Amino acid sequence: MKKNITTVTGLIAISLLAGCSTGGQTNSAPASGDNNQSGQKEIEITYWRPQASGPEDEFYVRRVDEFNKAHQGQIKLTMEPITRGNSFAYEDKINAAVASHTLPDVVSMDGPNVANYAASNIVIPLDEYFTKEDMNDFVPSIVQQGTYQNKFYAAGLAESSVVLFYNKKIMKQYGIEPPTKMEDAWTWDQWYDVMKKTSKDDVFGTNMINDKGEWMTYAFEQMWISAGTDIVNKEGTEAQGWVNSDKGVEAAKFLQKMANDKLFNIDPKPTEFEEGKAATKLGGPWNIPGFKNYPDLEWGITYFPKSPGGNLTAPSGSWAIGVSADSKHPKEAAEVVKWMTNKDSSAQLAKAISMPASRKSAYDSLPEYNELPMRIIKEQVITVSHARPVTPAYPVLTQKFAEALTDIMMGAEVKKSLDNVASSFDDEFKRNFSK
Amino acid sequence: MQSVSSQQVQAQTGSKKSKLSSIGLQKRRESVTGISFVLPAVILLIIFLLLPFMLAVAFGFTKFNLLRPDQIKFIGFDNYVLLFQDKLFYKSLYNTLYFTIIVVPVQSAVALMLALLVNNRLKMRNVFRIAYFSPVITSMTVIAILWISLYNPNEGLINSALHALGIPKQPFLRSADQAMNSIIFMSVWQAAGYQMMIFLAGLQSIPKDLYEASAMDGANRLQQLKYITIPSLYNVIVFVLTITTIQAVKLFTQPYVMTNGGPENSTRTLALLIYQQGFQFRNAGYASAVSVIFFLLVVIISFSMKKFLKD
Repeated sequence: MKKNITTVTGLIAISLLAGCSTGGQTNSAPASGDNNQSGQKEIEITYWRPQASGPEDEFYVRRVDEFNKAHQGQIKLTMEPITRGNSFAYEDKINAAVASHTLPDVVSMDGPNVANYAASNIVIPLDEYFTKEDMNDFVPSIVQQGTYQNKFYAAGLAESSVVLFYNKKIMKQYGIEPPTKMEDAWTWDQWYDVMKKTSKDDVFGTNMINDKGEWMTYAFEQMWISAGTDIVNKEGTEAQGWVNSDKGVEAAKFLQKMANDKLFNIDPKPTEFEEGKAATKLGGPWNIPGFKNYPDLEWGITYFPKSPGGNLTAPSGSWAIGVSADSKHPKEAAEVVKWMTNKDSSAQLAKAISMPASRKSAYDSLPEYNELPMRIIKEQVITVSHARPVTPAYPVLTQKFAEALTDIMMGAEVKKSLDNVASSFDDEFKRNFSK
Repeated sequence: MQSVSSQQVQAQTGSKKSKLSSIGLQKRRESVTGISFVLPAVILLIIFLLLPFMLAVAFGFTKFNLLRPDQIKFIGFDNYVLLFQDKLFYKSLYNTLYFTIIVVPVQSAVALMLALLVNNRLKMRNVFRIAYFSPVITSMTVIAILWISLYNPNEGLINSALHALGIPKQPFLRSADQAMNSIIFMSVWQAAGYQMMIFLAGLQSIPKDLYEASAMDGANRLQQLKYITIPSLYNVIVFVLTITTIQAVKLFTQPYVMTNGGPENSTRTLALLIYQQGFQFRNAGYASAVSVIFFLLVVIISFSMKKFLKD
């Protein structure tokens, strides 16, 4: 009996130790497959992407299946969707995997993180795997977003843009004609008047909080750009005098005024606009598929509002895909990247999530972008969009900026909050990235 | 385990000398069994507690970006110098201590009152016990999300109730003045049931004859509470206060889910600061330094409480 107990406890101890020592799933790829194209053994490639829903999920599952069929006997692709959470949960997971060397071969990453991952050697350059023709086929902002210090690290799965949706019935009720030409785009003041007019009985003038994480930077940095400044300098090394510049303070004060006047709900239901409880909505093409579930909703699209006397602009950038430095099979992993961003994938994904395509050639099969309302999205993507700052200290920038904007909308002192963003970013950059 | 084996040894020493060698063998066998019982726990403790802690101490002296594990640089006490100049560190420390100082006495008092209540021979006492204990077994994340909507300034249930009573709507989590107190309120509500159970166990171990005797001497309920219940519960109270303090100092989930440390850092705690610096900003070295300070804080608090309460 005692002997049995000893054996059992011993076994438990050993299995625990063994459990601790085997790393993540990434190590499961057979080592014998190294540089071996003879096809004796399939090379396993793992791929992480953030969890999505509906047609987007179906797209990924379908394309991965098709990839596996096309590469049968050579490459086997296993995809793992990871929870995105309300804000930064996916990034946290990547960070933890880097520290423990358990990254998959292929990773999806949000556009502004490409620079950070490239600077930290988490992803490898892909220049040798993409032809010149390929590179020319990507829309310019995709190449810009994926390039860090003249090397191409990640290919965009799709592009994005933020527009102002409006409820046609409510606009009609108040006799408002939203602009359909770029030169007529609403200024903040005009938008403010529209919100003020429509903000009555349970209806908010706008709905503009998608989440209090990355969305805040993605959407509202454009107000700084529109006003003629930005939240960091062009080199991405300094925030002092940019995020907290006079023009920046003006932009933030406008946001605070909207909040004080209760023109939007700071903790909205995600479907506020769809249910007719908001007259307008700052949102993206990804919202469009969901509109179908609300047959009573008649919606239109107009431009992202601009600063009075300032420039028209709109956010851009989206999820991109690259090869991790941990990958033992970079060549096969690059095959996956190419597959997931080729013309077919680009067109199919654009259709599935109604996002603007990342490849020019994909637009051939997307005629809806030639007329209203989608025309406005294409116009913004091609002519006025700005990507988020390319800086390796982006995680601190976006966190602190999002926190500051949330505070400002809840009534915090504007200048003080923005000063805090500037000093946090500058300290971080000096400490960790300046040479 | 030891006492059992020594008894056996004592019992057997009276017998013949020839048995001595087999006794030695048995003793050794028993200690092997003992060690093998303890071994898994010890290994787990080393892997998941001792080793990480030692690593944290070591990393506290380095500049270590989480995304560049191969570029660790020794920088001496720089992280600590930085830390003691960091306003956010002091703010987090203050928030952590504020939460602890309010939550520990309030929650323990509420728990004791609940325990006294459900210890009575009420008809519905099992219903009460379940009602008070059920928040404890629900995940904190779920509860936090639930309370976000309860606290919602526009359509939240609490504000609707206040409104019905003629009290103006409150911003709760949206105001830097109210956010921490709102978190304290819900935390007490959530966790008091746990301490209630411990108090209840304590209450039921107090001999009934003490109460009977005191009743014969003419003691009223309040005197019974003061002279019998509280002194009898002393060890339980010490235990409850200590674990509540340690749990309170570790406050993380509620502010992480409900406010992300805001508004204006009014709910940023040390645990949240460590998480944000370490995982979101990837400054693992700095986060380790904060963890070491955090560890020292917990040790100091626990020891001083032990000393204070024993005296």
